[in-house]
Amino acid sequence: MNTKEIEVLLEKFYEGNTSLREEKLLRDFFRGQKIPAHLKSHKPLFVFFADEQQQEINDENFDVTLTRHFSEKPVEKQVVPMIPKRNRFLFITGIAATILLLISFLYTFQHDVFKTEKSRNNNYNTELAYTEASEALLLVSSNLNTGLKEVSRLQMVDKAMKNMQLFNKFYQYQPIFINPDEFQNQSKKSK
Amino acid sequence: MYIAKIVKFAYHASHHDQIQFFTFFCPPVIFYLNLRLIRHMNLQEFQNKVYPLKNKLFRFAKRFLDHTEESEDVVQEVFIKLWNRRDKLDEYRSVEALAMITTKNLCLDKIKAKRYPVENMENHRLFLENIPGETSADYSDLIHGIHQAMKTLPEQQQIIVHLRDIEGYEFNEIAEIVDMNENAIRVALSRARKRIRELLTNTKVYEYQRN
Repeated sequence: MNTKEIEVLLEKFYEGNTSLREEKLLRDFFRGQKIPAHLKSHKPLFVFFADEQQQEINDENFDVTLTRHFSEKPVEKQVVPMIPKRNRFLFITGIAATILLLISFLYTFQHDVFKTEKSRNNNYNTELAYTEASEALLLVSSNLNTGLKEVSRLQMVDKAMKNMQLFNKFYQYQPIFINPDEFQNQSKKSK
Repeated sequence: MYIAKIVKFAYHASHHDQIQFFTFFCPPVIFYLNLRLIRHMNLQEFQNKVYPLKNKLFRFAKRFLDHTEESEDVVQEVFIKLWNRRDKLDEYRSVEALAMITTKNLCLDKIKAKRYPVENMENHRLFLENIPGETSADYSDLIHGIHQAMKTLPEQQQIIVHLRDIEGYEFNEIAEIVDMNENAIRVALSRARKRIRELLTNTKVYEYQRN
């Protein structure tokens, strides 16, 4: 590494713009012994960092005590259920949701699922359907013809209705014949 | 009755090619996903994942407390807390960040309560003999000076310098622990480093003058 490059890196370092790789380069440089005199003032910082990195827990039994602490608890006090209490609700809802999904799915696609043999065969027997339908229609029409004779008697009612309309006219002009003065007064008021 | 109907549905559906997939493969998949949610951390898994963090947590705690035994206790407490929360550890993005945050909070609580004795920094053990290069004891004074300088910095800057320069975290990881913007972290870092440099040069000048 050039001293110039190191100087540039140091400037970047103090601006907080160095990447982790560049910082490692700087650390490696200052770990070495060939350091120019004007850069020596920066060395203690990196020595400090290296020193701090090597601090560790001295207690050798640290892990062992912790594992003992963790492994003892459930055996003595808690009987661990297959599904923990918190998640039991989730588990049951999950099962319910799956069943609901299945049912809803099958309801929506019911008609696709149940293409039974009856419905399939109907599609193919169009000729039979045609003949049966035409026979049925013929039956209906023949019965209708017998009924038409009875229906012709209804024309008598029409004749009677014409006579009835005369009564209607009578009721229209009735008040004028009975009381012509009142009628005239009413017409004047309206004017 | 209903179960029999469902079985009937499924049987009829099995003759249909497109529906066969959904009816016979969806339920197992959903069940598997539910089981994934329910599964929680094993002791073995916990040992493999969380135990290796102990030295990092120790250093981080010591940054706040300046006391070896107290910070060991803090690390133990953090592990116990994580163990109690082990069924939810998978939900967090990284266990490491969570552990760091819990140590920070515990240490700050301890500092507030002031329930621990003060350790003399003169007894601070140095590991210079492990570092190749100059092993002379000349640096011990300077390193103590840097310790003092670090103490004068604001708390947030101390944490950031520690995480970046001693633990070698990326900026996004630091942002997760400190809950700050990455640019703000950069600014704080540069300020802290410059401040330490200034304090160092001042002490040096002072020493030269005395000599």
